[in-house]
Amino acid sequence: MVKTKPAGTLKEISHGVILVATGAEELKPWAAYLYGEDDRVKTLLELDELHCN
Amino acid sequence: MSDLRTHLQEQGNQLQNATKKTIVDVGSIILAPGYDPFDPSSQTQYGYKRFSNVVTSLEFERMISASGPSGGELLRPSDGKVPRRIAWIQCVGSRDEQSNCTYCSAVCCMYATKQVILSKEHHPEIEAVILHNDIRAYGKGFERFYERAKAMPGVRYVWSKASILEQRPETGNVALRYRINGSVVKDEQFDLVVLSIGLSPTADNRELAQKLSIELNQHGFCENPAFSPMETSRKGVFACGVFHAPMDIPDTVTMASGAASLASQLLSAQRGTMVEEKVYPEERDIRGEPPRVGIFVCDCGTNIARVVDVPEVVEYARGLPGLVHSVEETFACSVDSVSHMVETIKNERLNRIVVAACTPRTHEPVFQNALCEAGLNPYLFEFANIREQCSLVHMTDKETATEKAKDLLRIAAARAVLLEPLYRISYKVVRSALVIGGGIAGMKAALSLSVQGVEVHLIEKNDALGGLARKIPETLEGEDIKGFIERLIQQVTENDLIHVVTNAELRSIAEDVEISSW
Repeated sequence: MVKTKPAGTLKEISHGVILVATGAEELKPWAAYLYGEDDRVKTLLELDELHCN
Repeated sequence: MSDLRTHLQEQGNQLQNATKKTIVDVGSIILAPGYDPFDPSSQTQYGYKRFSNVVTSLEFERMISASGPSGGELLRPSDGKVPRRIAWIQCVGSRDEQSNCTYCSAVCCMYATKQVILSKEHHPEIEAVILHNDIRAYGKGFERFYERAKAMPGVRYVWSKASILEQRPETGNVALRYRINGSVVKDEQFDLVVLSIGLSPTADNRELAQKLSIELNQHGFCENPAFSPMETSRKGVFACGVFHAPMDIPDTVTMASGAASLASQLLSAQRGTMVEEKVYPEERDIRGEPPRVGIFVCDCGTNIARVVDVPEVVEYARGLPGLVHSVEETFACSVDSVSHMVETIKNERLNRIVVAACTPRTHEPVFQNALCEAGLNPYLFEFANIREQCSLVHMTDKETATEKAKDLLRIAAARAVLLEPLYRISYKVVRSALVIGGGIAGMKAALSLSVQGVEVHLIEKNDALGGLARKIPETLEGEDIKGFIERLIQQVTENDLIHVVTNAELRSIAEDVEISSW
């Protein structure tokens, strides 16, 4: 029984097994390499996003 | 060396003699033919087979193995002396134009590092030099392992390509020439040289591929669709392990599970139709019997016996309460030893079993199965972990390790005497799965479960499925990631068995199981 909370409502889910596939987050190197201070300093994913658009 | 090669040859022959033809009717095929170790004899600069003290990494692996020809003693081939200075040459048959193996074999950096650590554990005074072409310590925990090896006294990692000059007849030492800092040429002698050979496709891959009409890549490994590594170019035929590409054991396990899951999706309609239940002999009623304890102490080859005085522990066991039988085993978990254990339990009418060996996490089921085979309840069993808790943590102090092994054994035996038969209870399992995370991994898992008829709840914290991969436009080969994710999202959202909740946050998990006894 799991309670989830989309948009403030609680929902119960009955299940027999759990798979965790929560992945990762990109590290944002705040306070290093001028990241966040100069627009020309990007992370790899931010650069890929530029390519996407 | 000839001893070692004969030993490997014999092992190979034994396997080959077991060939027989059988016709089987199947709905799916999983290909797991593995690999051939790269043969360095064609690469004359390494002097392999010309010089007896130049061995491949796989031969070295046997040389330091407890079940190898020298029983785990590290001895060099030419004169049986312990080598004090050992060099490893990396990328033999990997990342190499000359041998036509331009791919990275993925495992050599780490197995060489492991061999360095093992050699240092055998003989701390050994000097080790690893001549490498970049160390690729990319996997989980690898960097830490590499840093550990690098920090050991007498261990040097040198970025260089090396070749072998000669083996000195008078000393048996091998002279190496290598370049450092790109220009300085250095000559150095070693007692033993290990060639870290790559993983080649098997010689039979081409024939296998032809028979099954599947495609291989230019190197002879399996060709697969970009986003489905376990699929081949033919439906229903799946691939895993090094047949796909060089990889280590954990990755092989992951891929094999994936291939099995794909085959299982295909065959899900047939599931359970051919099950034969394993039947054990009827369980002996031990009520009213005085405790008759059997103790089996494992050498684990030399992994335990090198540090713990096993005969002394076995002797000590003879004085423990309720003891009927105590014995030393070279490998207690081997098929022969386990069947011997079954016979002993029956013959001696043992009713409590204690094994002093490695970890119950991996080996408890093996021995519990032996109890069942012998007609004993599987819970009349105790495990003393004298490998991890004695020979590994007290590696340098044999006396402490042996005393602690006795203590652990005494505790286990005292507990064993008090054990009563236990019976398993069955739970009613809710036949649905909760998948947390709606990225590629979560969506693929959800789809695989649904194809096998399992209802899935997929929860995602963001307002849309797809995860971080949505930010990456294409792969190295130019495959369209965005399109792949969009197709996955469509398949997931259109699937009646998958219920997606976005903007979801996991609040709590409560246990609510109905227990019934059987």
